[in-house]
Amino acid sequence: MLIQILINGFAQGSIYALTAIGYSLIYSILQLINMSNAAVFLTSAVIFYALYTSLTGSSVLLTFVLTLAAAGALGYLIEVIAIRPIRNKGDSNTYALISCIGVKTILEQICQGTFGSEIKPFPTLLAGKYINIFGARTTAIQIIIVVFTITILLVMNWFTQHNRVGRGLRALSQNINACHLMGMPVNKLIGLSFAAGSILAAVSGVMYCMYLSSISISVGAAIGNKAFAATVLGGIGELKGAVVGGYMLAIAENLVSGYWSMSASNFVSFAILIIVLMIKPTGLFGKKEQKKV
Amino acid sequence: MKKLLIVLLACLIAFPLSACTSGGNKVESAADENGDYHIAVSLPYTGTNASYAKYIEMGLKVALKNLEEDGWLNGDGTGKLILDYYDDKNDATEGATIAEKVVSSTEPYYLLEIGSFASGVSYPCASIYRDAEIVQYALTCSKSDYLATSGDWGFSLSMTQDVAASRVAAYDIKYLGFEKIALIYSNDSWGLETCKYYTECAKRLGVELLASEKYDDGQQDFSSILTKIKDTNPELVMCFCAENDIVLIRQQAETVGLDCKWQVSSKSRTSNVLQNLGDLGEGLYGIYAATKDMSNPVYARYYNTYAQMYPDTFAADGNTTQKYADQGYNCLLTTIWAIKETQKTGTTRQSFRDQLATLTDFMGVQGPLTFATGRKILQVQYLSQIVRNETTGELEWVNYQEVNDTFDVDAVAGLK
Amino acid sequence: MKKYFTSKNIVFILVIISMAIAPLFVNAYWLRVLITAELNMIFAMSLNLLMGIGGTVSFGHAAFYSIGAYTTACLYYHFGTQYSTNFIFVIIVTALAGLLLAVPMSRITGRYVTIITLSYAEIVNLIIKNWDKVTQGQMGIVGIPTISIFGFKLKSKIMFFYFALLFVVITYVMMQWLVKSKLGRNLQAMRDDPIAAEAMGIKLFPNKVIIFTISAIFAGIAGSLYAHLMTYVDPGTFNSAISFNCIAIVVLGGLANFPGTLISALFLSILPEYLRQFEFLFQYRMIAYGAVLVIVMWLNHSIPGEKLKSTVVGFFRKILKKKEVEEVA
Repeated sequence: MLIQILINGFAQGSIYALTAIGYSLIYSILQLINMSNAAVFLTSAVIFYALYTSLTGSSVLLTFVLTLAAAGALGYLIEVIAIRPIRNKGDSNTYALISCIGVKTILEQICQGTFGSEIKPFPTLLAGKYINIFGARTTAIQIIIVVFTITILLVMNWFTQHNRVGRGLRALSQNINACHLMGMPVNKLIGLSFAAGSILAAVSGVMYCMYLSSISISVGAAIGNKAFAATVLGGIGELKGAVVGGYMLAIAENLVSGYWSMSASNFVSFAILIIVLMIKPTGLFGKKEQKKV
Repeated sequence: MKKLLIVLLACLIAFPLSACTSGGNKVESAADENGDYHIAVSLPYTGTNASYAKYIEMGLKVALKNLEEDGWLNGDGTGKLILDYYDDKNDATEGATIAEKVVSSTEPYYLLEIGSFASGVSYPCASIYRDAEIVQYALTCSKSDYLATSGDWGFSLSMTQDVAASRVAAYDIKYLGFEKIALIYSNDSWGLETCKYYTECAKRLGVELLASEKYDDGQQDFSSILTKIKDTNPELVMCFCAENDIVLIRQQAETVGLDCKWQVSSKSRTSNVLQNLGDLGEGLYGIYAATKDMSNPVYARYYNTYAQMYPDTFAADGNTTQKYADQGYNCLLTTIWAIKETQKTGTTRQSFRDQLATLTDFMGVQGPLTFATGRKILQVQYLSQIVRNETTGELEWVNYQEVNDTFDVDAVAGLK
Repeated sequence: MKKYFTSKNIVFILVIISMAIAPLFVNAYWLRVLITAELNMIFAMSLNLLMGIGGTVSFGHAAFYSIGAYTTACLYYHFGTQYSTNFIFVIIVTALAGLLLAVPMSRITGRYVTIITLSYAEIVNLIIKNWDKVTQGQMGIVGIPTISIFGFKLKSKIMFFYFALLFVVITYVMMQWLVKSKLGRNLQAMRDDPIAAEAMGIKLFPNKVIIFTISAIFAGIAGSLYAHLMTYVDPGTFNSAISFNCIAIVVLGGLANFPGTLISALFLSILPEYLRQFEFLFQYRMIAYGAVLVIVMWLNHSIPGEKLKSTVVGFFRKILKKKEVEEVA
């Protein structure tokens, strides 16, 4: 059973990790907790479902690409409408945060209104195929998810280290004012980072629904909170921290769920979070921040 | 400037308070000036139980259609029944707000309230209806102490879980002969009750459950529960869950590699489950409280009207009606009967309630209905299973009616 | 005495007077809505204390609300005690809960506050859901009687209404007193610039602890009244939506603006029930909530929004130019 638990944990952890990267990215730049990320998670899954069942039923790949594009556009739009005006004024981030919550509520309600409350079957990849690892069944979709996540992580790493735009985002996370002075298109870059975070949420949303072979309204909520916890666990602003946090949290949850009970596992993830924050507030990989006077 | 501010603020406060309308006095007879009766219906149109709300509404509408064909209550086109549908979102607070609205509403004045679907919603609202002395026809409420706590004003067409869950245990252990059983149940009022009574009955029959796992509402990833259960090597997994959940559980069990028999309660013995599970559903046991008995004229009429009004659902279900629609129909049928009986002396909330409580051997769609002591409903249930039809090769739900001829499930379960 | 008649306090008095005479005009349903509004006022004021004065955005305030409700419910369920006894325990238990939250907070810098409060609320909810022996878990506690104080029962909803109104008044007065006190000034200094405040010798930790505790106590009181109003509690009612609703009320009314909180609580409690008549709109109620948040933030905290506001206000000013001139003169 232990192996099975670990494997389930890895697959779930990938979902958390992908969403967590989205949170981490935006936080590192704006010091803003993007609460609408979970809503984008849900919305992308709904968009995928809608496209698949109406237009592009033949090709999962095409639907996937279209969904990612839509999610990116949505992320950019959210930034422009809800965040940018507040950010430009320079007021405290609390207000942008509340605006995020507003966006989250709107998106969730629209999804509920259009999609309905039932569970519907969701297309998946390589259904039914699995391999045996030390007696535990690993399904094809689980392997796909893990591989996908690690690939994305490597791509993100390369992006922020070696790509000009990526380096621009890193510069933003260090000092926004300096970026303004250096003539970087700060607003566009921030919009881009929102789009990137949304695309990641879309990937994890679609993958999660594929993992479950079904989609329903409650999909975004639980994942959102847990992914956020994973972000903080790993250290906000650290991409690899978000990923490690995601895996750790999922594996811990599955262990507790397997050996104790499912209810306890929910409890445990939040408890771990609080304990880590008490011991090392900046998270596992976070760097201590200097507060400027 | 200050004065302006004060004036503006006074207006601002006055607006919300003016939205509150004033109340009225109690009325003598429940009928309005046209001689029509108003009924409030509170169902969970949004939330996890949305599909059940739909089924119940279908049943109500079929009953209304039949009544219309009969010329409404008075036979000449007057005496209509007007139903107002409210969405309680499967949430007790919403239900309570609706309840308050219903009991204090004078325009229209409600004779009774039908709903809600979930015991967790009907149960807390019972006190509001009881104190206002208006009948709460919680047709699907199966909480064992509902009838007791609702004073005299709560009615239910559903069997209580102390009976229903025990019967399932009796079938599983003594008829089907399973000894190694694991239980999955939803963490809500209904799930907790069913688990309790199933476990107790199983213990009475000498079986200790291997595992008893509950899951929260909205949970979609059952892999950890299933992995745990797989380790205990059960012969049968009993699932007290909604129809959406069993689909997920069964699918994920397949991925985890859990190989055993499956049983669900009557709540999940639906056509949705049949369709969504596909081949995975073959062999799934269920419990059913209804039969397609065309020799019953009440059922025949209901069946035909239903087929006319909802041809798609009807066909998709394999040319039968939905269980919860049946109950909705029964509910309104008994209501109509009670109104007609009390019309001579004037139907008030009190007289309606008293009349309804005397229901004995009333022919409903599934056979006679009687409110026994404490207004409990007694029903016959059948063991059911998804099997492959030999001629068509399609999967379908089949009821093993002949089992009850030799197997006295109530006696075995220790209920008699 | 004259200094108490500030415009803010006048608003407060107006609200209380309107509420006090309201029962004469409304039926049972709307009375219940108004009682809910009163509870929201108390709840939102407690959050405003924490957010507006203390500068801590709490996403988990429903935790204290639910703790208050469950304390009185569990005490009734297990011991059959009446409200007068339960009230004391409500204060004690929620104060402890507030303290419990304040302790991790001491080590956390501002931005992690959100996640901590969120997690805290989730943990409290999970405990309530699963501690079956005490809270009855998902079955909930049913049949909670109406409030009785030393044997005196609040038999009718109207009496409950006035009882809750009394609490609203007490809460408001205490909040105002707190704001003006040394504690209040310390907190505002901490909110505006924590480093400068520390430099001036204001200790962050004890002040934070006190504010959490006080805020928790008032939220718990609101929750306990709620339990007696609904006569049942179950874990499903106390979800994050309650926290977010409260934030919406506080934000709409204005941070640190207590009279504003009263009005926005009234508004946001009555509006959805008013909209219920238009049933087809009802599913859009939450969308309206979300939109309200976004729009209010935009109006107050973005440059084009402020421009819009000043244009509108200027327009009104022009109409009433006469009064303005009088004032100046």
